[in-house]
Amino acid sequence: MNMIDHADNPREEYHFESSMEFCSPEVVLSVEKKIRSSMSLTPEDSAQLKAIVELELMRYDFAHGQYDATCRKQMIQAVRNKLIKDFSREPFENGPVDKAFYKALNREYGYV
Amino acid sequence: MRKLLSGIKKAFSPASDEQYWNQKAAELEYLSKSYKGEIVQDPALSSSSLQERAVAAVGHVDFESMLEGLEVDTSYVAISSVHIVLAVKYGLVGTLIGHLTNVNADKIEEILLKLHGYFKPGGKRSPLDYHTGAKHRYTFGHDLNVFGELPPGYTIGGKDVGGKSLYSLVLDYIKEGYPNCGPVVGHFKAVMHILTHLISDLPTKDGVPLPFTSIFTEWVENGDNVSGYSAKNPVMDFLGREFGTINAADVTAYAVIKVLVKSHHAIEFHKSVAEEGDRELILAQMYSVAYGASIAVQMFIMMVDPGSLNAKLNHMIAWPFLYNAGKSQLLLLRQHGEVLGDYERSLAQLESESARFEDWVNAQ
Repeated sequence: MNMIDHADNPREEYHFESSMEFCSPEVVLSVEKKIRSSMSLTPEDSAQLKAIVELELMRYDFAHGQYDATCRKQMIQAVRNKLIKDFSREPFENGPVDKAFYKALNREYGYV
Repeated sequence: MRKLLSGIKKAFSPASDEQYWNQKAAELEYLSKSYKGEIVQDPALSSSSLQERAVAAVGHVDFESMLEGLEVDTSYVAISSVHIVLAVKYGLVGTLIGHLTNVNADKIEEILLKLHGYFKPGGKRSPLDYHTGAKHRYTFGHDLNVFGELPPGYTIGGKDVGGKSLYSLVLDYIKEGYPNCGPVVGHFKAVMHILTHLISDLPTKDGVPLPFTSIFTEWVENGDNVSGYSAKNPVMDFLGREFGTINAADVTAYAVIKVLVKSHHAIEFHKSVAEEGDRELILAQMYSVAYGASIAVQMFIMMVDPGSLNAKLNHMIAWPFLYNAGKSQLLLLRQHGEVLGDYERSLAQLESESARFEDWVNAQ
């Protein structure tokens, strides 16, 4: 998989589900910290945010690692299924948590 | 050379309509008096133009007074510079209101989300949002294409939702959320769920895509996404947010312009005896000018500040602009045709050997 660093394409809005790019772990973790400090999160929200961060860090690893397509798919679905099993929630649902996360992440990269 | 200079002079300082018609009135008065033998021709002016001879013989003649003297109906109306200036102002006011809508978009969205909440059982995720990602509205569920489907095998919360139309997904969602509602109420709530969802998305930057553009969506299996699919819409990729969406600012700008022009027209012609066709023409012309002014401002913003929320084509205004501009042209053509028909009838009567000249005059 040929992925580019989102820092090289900040004019496009980034989202895990629609971009073939990766974000820097430092930026992802910094955004997670901001969301946790600015929003009042329920246990479900917190688990969703954790799953999103996990997926983003995974993508960074995918872009720099040697995982094959099947392995990548299994790892992503494992994170998703765990969240569904534990909290009946999808990592991405256009809800307040994922919206706030990607708004902050894009802002961090200078997208208005 | 004299003609050339005169032509250039006319091009840069054309005579006003009023001046033109007063000149024609003087010429008519002059010809009328000459015909009756009331004017003695001055040999010194024999090489002068008709206009110069008329002015020398009868002086200034007011066209409107002449029509009144001849008992010609002057109640016809036409668009004036005042109408044009006001229409431009209405267009600018509408654009400004659109801008204010964008400035207060978050507050408006909050209110509209509350409205959507009445048709969203338990605040559960709407089927319109089953597909996620940046610009997800451009690919599924947000363009009134209720027959649109997610690809086969698409799952949400472990449940297969692929291959079902958006409307059936929403109906299932409503039935599940409101188990006691009957079929009629169920359909009503489903329709309201879709409409209020779209309305609540209007104030956002992405707005909603043009109706039925999602029919061009292409789904591709992609194991690197959580949903297992990527979606792209080449039509929306081509049009972009600027040319392919409608947002709340578009709606408010259109509504304000429509109300201002319509109200102006209603007040101005409240007790007017002007003909319906003339009034209709002025209304269409004022709409064209007002909508045109608004479009011009937004196109200008697109050039100088392309990232701005206002930098987009307002489809709510662009189509009515074309409609009214076309309508104006057709109404003018119809009026022109009627005038030509009158001329032809008049000339036919004048050329008829059986009719007397006095009868022709009286028939005009």
